[in-house]
Amino acid sequence: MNGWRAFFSLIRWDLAVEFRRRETTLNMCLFAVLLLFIGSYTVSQKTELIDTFGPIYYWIAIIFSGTVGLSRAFLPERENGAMAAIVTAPIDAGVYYLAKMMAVWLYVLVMSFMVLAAYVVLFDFEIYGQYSDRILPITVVTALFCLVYVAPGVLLSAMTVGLKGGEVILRILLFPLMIPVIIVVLSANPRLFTDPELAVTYTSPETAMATLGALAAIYVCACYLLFPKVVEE
Amino acid sequence: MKDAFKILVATVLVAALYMLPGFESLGARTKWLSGAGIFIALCFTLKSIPLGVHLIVGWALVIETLRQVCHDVPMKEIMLGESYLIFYFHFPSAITCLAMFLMAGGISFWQLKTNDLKWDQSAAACIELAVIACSITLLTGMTWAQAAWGRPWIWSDPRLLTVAIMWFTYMAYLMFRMAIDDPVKRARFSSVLGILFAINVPLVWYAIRLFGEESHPMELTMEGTQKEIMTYTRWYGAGAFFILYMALWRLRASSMRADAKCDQLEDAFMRQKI
Repeated sequence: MNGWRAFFSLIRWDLAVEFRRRETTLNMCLFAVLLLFIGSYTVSQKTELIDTFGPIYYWIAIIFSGTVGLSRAFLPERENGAMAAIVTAPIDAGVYYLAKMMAVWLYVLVMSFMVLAAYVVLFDFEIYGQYSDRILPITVVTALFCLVYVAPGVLLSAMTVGLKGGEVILRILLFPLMIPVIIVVLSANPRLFTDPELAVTYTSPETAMATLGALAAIYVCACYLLFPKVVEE
Repeated sequence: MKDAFKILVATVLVAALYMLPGFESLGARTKWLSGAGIFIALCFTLKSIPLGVHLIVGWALVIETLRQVCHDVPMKEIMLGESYLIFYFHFPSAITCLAMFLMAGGISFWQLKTNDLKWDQSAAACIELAVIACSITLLTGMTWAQAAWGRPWIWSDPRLLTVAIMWFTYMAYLMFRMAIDDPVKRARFSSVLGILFAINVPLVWYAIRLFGEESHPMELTMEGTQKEIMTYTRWYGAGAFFILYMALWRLRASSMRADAKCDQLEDAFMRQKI
């Protein structure tokens, strides 16, 4: 089978299953918004803390609720024994990985845009006023962040899906890998979310985007090469 | 016989390197390259000598480092005073743990290529030892930070943060190994993780330096011959610790192999019984 055709049919299959079940994305969105809601309440008494803590809660909500989606990524295959079928099918396992990663990236993107919408409401982020030029950089940085997040996440999810306590182990394995990415987005936070005049010394959104793009390329390539070893029987 | 030949070849290579005319005046890059050559020759040679001898040599070298710290190096540093002496144990542990983490990545790669369980046990033993070295680095580092800065933990020191993240990463690796029972599957998955984490180490290193808070540079300040003695002792210590850890690594790997063999025999016995 042609690589591209396999890629698109695998994505279509994954999206169809998700569209009928509506479990993963809905769960993730609800969990993320709930986290942001609690975070917003903790700083609601002190408005001077909002600029510092708001963006941090934004990333925390994405990272924590993303693991909900990742830990369920291979459940449909596992339930019906489809994993063995896909592995024996004449498709490159790397293509299967890329398709899975794109599908999970889409779910995580939907979730992170929900988080962004909730952030605008709960933290009073003036997208029609002072911060109207921020939406584009925030969206791009978030999308790249999610890509770096799901690239090793899908690989680790495939390894931990059948294990005892697999969900916890997935988190323990994934979070240390995410530290470089978190350091990058935290250093770009002040110029993304708060007054740029106050934050000229911090990392610019463009630098953050370039770094995240490079990290995404490294992780996607490494996981693309390693994934066939994970599903090999 | 084959082992004796390997030792001979490595010794001749290292000796030839040092006898090259004008070795002292070579540039820093050549010196690094020759250092790496000596390192590889050392690794091959050490595998060829018996484990008992290797362990004794390792401990003897560590005791010699201790003697040098007690007698040769200056007792006080200009900025840090006596507290800097812990550096002679902190630095070798740090270098050893970094080298062993990267070596474990290489061995994991080789395991995936050859599908031989022996390399998996070797990589796991390497990471166990490296985590111990990493813990020692963290503890001595925190003790030193308490003496130098008055606080055991400082977020703005990139080295401390890098080592702490490595510790968490490789503890996760060990936890993951415990969760899988099937040895073949464990070997494959652990090797994938070993490679992924070895890629992560330099990324953490650069991310913290480029995007983290401003760092506190911490160089030892001493003049003239004393500085030379200090540099010599710390690299001597690094070599001594590395040789000792290699011996412990061999010990642990052989015990892991024995464990695997026991499991195999037990399985075979049970099958026969049925």
